Amino acid sequence: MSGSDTLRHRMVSGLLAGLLGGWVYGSFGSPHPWFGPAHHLFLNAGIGIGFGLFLGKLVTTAGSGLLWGEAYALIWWIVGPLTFFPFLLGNPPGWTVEAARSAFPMLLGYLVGYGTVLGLVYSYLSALFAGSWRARVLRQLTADFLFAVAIGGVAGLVGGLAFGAWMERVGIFPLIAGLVRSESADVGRTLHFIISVVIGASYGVLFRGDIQGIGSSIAWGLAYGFTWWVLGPLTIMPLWLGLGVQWSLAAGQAAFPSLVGHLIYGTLLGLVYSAVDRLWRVLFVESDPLKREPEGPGTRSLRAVGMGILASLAGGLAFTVVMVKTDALPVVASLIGRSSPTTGFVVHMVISAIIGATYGLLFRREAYTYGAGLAWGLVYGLVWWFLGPLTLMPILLGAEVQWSLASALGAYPSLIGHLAYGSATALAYQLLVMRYDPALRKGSRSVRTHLRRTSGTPAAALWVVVLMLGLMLPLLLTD
Amino acid sequence: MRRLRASRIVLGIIAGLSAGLVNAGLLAVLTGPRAMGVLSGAEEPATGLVIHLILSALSGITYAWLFNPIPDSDAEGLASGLAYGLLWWMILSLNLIPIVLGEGPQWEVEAVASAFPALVGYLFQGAIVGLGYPILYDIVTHWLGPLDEPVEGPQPLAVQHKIVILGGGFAGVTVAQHLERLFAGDESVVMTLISNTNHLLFTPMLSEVTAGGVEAQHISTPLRAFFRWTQVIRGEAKAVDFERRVVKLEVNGPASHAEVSFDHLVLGVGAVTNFFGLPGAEAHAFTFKSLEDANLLRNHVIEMLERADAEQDSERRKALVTFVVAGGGFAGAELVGGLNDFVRGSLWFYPNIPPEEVSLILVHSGERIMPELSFDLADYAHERLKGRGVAFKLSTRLANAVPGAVLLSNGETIRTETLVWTAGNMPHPLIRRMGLDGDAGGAVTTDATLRVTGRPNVWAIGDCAAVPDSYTGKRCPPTAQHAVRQAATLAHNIHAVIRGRKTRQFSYRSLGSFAVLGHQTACAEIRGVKFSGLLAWWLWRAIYLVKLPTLEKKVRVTLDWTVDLFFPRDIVQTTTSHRSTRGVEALARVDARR
Repeated sequence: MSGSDTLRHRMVSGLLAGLLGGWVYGSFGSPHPWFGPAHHLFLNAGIGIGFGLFLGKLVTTAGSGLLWGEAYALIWWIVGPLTFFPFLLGNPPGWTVEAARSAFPMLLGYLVGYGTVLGLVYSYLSALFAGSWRARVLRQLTADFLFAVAIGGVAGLVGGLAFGAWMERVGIFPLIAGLVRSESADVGRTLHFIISVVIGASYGVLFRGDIQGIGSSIAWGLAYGFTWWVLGPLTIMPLWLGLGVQWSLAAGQAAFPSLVGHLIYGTLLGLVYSAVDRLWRVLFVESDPLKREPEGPGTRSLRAVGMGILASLAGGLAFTVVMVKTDALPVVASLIGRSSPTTGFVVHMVISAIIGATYGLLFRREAYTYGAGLAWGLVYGLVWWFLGPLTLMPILLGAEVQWSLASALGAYPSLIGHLAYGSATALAYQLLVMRYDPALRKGSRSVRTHLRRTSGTPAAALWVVVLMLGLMLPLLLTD
Repeated sequence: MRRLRASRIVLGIIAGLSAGLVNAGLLAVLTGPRAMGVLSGAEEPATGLVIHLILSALSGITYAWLFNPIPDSDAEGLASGLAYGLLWWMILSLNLIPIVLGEGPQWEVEAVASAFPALVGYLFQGAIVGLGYPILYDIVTHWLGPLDEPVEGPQPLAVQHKIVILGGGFAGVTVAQHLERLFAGDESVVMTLISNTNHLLFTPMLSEVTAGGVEAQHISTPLRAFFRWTQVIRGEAKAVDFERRVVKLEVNGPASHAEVSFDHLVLGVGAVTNFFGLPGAEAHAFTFKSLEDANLLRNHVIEMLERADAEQDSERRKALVTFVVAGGGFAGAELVGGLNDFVRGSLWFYPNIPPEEVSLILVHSGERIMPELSFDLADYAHERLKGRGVAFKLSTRLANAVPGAVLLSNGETIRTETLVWTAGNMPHPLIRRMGLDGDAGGAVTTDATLRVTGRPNVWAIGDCAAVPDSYTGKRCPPTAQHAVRQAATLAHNIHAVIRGRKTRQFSYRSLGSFAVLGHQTACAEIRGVKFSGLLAWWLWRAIYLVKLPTLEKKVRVTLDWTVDLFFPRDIVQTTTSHRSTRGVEALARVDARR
């Protein structure tokens, strides 16, 4: 196939996917209030073609289509509704948090229409045009595929258990049962687990080609959790119940606890999926003497743990600044029944070392540059924000999980602290890794290729989606 | 390399400045005159713009450093730039600027929300840097040729320093490891390690191999597993030509290795067994220094048990199950303890050997065994071994050994088929052949920086070197403990010499010593504190397990120990080349050595 053919295919796929995505967005959400239908058509076509041209060649799987689509939608939301639309129309500037809040419905609409629908449809259309459709379908019916579906399902079940525990406590199951015109909690629970398993299986299908390490898989799970928060309680469920999409700011605020639930679900989904996947590889693939690396996983992992702990010193100290400022050290000390700030500091550093060790273990070989390391560190910091102060810490202190919007907003300084912790730890870890392996520092090609696990995967799109949503959503949802 | 770094910085500055200008422009249009204050914290717009642009240039440089190599595609550049913009916003708007303005970090949600305009601004700025820097980079490479190293083909190496290490024991391996760390990434320094074995043997556990508690392979680590850049040559150094700065090797490998040239030479060849001119012992005794020795001895002991079981004549049977160890130092005492356990513990398999016929004899020239230990500990060791069935011939030397018997200095003759010699060590003969200054025992003398006397580029450590002990004023004892510390100092000093820095003097005070005396019994002296019995044995295991190189071997040895707790000792003979004709074989060995 010639290059121009490929380009034409990308443009046509983008055009069609853009029109479809725009139609979804336009028919469910409030279309851009400033434009007429003709403008809208052009806009959608332009957005679709732009996607094909700019990102088309990076979309190699449905999963990468989804993530690049969402990143693309976020970029357009900032460029369009926040910046140029009001500017062009002489409206008040859009870079304030108030303006961003009023554009919240468009954010969700963009994520669904110009993100999920555009990205997914594009990925299938481009495969169809490229003639690889048949090959792709056939390839999917392999043992590999079934394996991904199976462990995805199991991982979904585990995530569903955690999410379900919260749903049980707040009595949300009868509401879920409403989807099938029932009010029984048991029906709701069953439905919840079915959905959890199905989403988990779809995770395996979408991302199995891109997932290599456990760390990045957790990030993928997180992004997928975001996606399903938008798609599930705010879009598909209300549509199914005939309520129309719930993309308003108020609906978003009300659904915040469910967002944390979805994120915990996604984190566990990604973790369990890749853990099983890694275990399988270690036991049955990498154990093959012909494929073995000079060091076994035992030595490698232990070194990664050691480096992670060492690196966490940097992150832990960075976080201490905010702990002191917000008087959080006594609270941390209360984890072991004490109250002195010094004890709190020690406990905090121990926790930070444990999390650092897991960073080393989970994100070993995910980053080949300092920048990539930083991005993964930020993502991991975000994970621990809702895993730590919002979930585990209250549980360990004998209280309920703190998934409400109010407590999340109260814990916002801690989010910044976690992000600082993550970035400092990751940067220090990367320094240690590069010091250990100077070939990497010099960017020696062979080593670089060897380490570039996340290359060719939509990791960069993932960072944008996870970090922007993680940082911005709480800001947008404040009253 | 320098050009590359400079171009990266310049490109980073250009990308950062342009992105900063766009950010400032957009923010000014959208939020009015406050914009510069938002971005820099300064009240005066002009000052604000200058500060903002300086910071932007900095952000561009940092981006260039962080994302090197550049992302594969424009889209990935854009996306990574967005993530970078978020980070930059957090650093500046939430931390640095408020801190400079005396407000402290602003992490509360309201404060962060009010910094939202800057967030959008920095997202734009990050996106432009992420998109622009790779594009600029491509343009510049297009015009100026590649900035990066060529993709294909090996780099021409400008080797400036060749460091050759002789010996693959603790001394040599530790030196090489430290040097790898110190010279990490410096391709102008090339390290070569020459060893006559391809593994590092963990000698403290050697007696356990003979006793069957641990597998032979599990206490030794392949030399090649230790290093990432050091070249390993398995070979025997024949001589050193100090004028031409080459090490000459025994030629039985590739011809290119017949000579290895050096700029710095490290001697860590260790010691060999010293028979003190007793030809009978040299011909008939087993030595106990290598894995091969341990294996040979073990197979031989099993052979003796097998034969004794079939022997009808009581006298001959007694000779078969009499085992003599000459030398009551650490090695001898540990070996006799281990052998005693193994032989007596295996009798269960050999019902025709009456236990009272078995004897294990330690011959020692001194009045007490293990002179390195204090009197009461040595006495304890003596009593324990005796209690477990070991016989002692103290203040007695080996006078001669003939096939089937050993003669002692007190005129006694012991009929035995097994003599193990642990009574003496001497520095490797290569040291003498080099003609370097040596002490009375033949070890090469060094100064406190471990430099060989009169040879500025030759260094020596370990059992072959006479290193002055800063605590006793005498020669450092030939232990692994000292060797590894010397190795660290030596590596530091070679690095210092090459880099033109200050060298360091070796100083180390021995921590203490351990001896294991068979089943769950040991004695130890650590910095004057004495331990014995189970506690000392447990300490022995814990400490040596930590010292055993590589995690893999630690795990394997731990498993061996665990299995040994629950199952009988293994009496499989792994080689049948037993020493039935050992006199002949040993003579051949002596010939070969000469």
